[in-house]
Amino acid sequence: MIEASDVKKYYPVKNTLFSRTGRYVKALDGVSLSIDKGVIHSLVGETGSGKSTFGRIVMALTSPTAGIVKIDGVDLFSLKKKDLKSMRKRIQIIFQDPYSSLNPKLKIRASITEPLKLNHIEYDEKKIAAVVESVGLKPAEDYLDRFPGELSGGQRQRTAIARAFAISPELIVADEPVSMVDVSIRADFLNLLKETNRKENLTVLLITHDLFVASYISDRISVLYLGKIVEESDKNGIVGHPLHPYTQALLDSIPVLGEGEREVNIKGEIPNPIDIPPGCRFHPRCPFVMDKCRQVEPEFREIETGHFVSCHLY
Amino acid sequence: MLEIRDLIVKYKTSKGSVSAVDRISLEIDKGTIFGLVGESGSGKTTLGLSILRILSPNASIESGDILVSGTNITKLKEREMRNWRGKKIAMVFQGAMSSLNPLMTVEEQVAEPLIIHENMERSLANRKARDNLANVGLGENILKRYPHELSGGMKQRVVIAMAIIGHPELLIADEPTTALDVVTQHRIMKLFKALRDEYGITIIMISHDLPIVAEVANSMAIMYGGKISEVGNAREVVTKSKHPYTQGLIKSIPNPKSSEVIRGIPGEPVSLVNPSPGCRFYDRCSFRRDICKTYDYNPAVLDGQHKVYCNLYEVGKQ
Repeated sequence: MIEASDVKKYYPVKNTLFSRTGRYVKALDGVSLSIDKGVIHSLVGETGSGKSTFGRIVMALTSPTAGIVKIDGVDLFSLKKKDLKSMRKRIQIIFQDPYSSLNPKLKIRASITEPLKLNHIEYDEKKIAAVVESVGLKPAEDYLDRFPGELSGGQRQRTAIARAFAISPELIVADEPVSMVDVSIRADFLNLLKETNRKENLTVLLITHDLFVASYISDRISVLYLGKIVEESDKNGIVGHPLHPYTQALLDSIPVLGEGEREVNIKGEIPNPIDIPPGCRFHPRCPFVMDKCRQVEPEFREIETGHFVSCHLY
Repeated sequence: MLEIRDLIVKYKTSKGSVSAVDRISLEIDKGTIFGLVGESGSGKTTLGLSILRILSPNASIESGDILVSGTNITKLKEREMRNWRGKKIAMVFQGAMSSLNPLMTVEEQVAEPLIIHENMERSLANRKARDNLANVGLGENILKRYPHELSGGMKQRVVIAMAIIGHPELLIADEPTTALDVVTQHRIMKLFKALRDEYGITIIMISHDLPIVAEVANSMAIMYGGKISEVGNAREVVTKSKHPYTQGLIKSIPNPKSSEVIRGIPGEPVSLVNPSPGCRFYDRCSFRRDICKTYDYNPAVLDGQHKVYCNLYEVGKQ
């Protein structure tokens, strides 16, 4: 469904208002990723890893500096305006913040019907009610004529999801969809996404910093570090048998309920993406760093079937 | 160290009176970390603000006592209370790391309150600022930097340094790990443990994140709808949880080591505008009985410190 090859996104660093320094923030530094239809694929990384930038590129909200993104074989960035519009009918995004992604002056009904109108999709009252009820806002008539301000956080997030589902997209990009939602409601959202994936063969690109959330619903997981994917596998490979020291550190950082204290094997903080370290970009933080790591960038290789990693240890 | 007795805090709103903290009693030992866990609207932040007496103008402590090291601070005059804030009791506010002044260096920012409030000389204040930043793990290389040059974790450390500069006995931290990356969250938690172990500071950690709190806290209370549903030794509360709400929370957290399906808690958080008597969790509880609708329950002592406020355990009540 999605095929991204060697996608780069560089932002020029400005010194004063108009002069450029010739340096770049390398938000994405060569990301290749392919997601099959009907798969839930998570892109996991810290702040500054470039994960949201990748989501925005897949949505054609921003164009890459280099590289190609194909959706069903069609190059997203060579499309004419009209064709891009029809492509957009097939892709929807769910943002992190349910408080700011709904127009506070539109009733829920208007929020849901807006994407349908914009995409010239016919609808009736029954269809709208069905969409709203499919995300658990039952009965629909209790919600349709209310404003976002009258809903709880969980209800707002469900409205945002209903809006994304309204045009029956084939692909959903969900950018940290649960990080602002209370835990007791988070589980329902993840289950709903999984259920829609199974029933409608929906393809999902989930962008998150939480490996536990990713492992719960994903088929495949890619771990992004400073604009490059450092490890990719099915979820059992990433969670049960992580190879990259960075993936191991991410996993160790998350507490498991009822278990004791953990040691996390990672140094320092994620560097500024203007100055990407030479060699392996993770080497300044790596507990297993070798001489080679400081000079040679490791290749992204398949170590076990379907399990890729870029690390000189393997 | 801290004892709260039958505390009631209400907000006056256009829709009516909101009981954000509803007859809460708690005891916190000196030199421990106490976790206060709840979802949005549970009253956990209001409880924290009450201890510093910095509630918003439409809120007030209706009744109850807050004893800090034996002094009932609810009885103190506002003028006296000012000598407590920042000195005996300090707070790290939610999102404080994004309210650092962007035009001031880290050193100026940390030293400023000492210069303004304590009339300290700049050179002495700067030295104290440096010492405090070192205590939270920040080196001299960041002194001249501006907030935008710092990572989230560094900013959070600066905010913590500012909170502990007056050597408080009690530190209240409201959502100190929210919006931080997992690696940074782990480090900030280690910092809180160090503040407890090395300086003997008593810490109240307010958070929605149960696993993070359970890992560092000595004891912990779970709040729902302005009330405590369960309180006790942190490990016991999560491994031997008794309250249906605590159990529901635990079931909604993904654990990669188990293949169990996680489940949310059905329904929506309770509205605290003129709440009906009885259990706050009634509408969402799958074990509810008729009595829960009206009965104003008391704690059932389960095992020493572990208390659950639920009618299911009425039998064990003392």
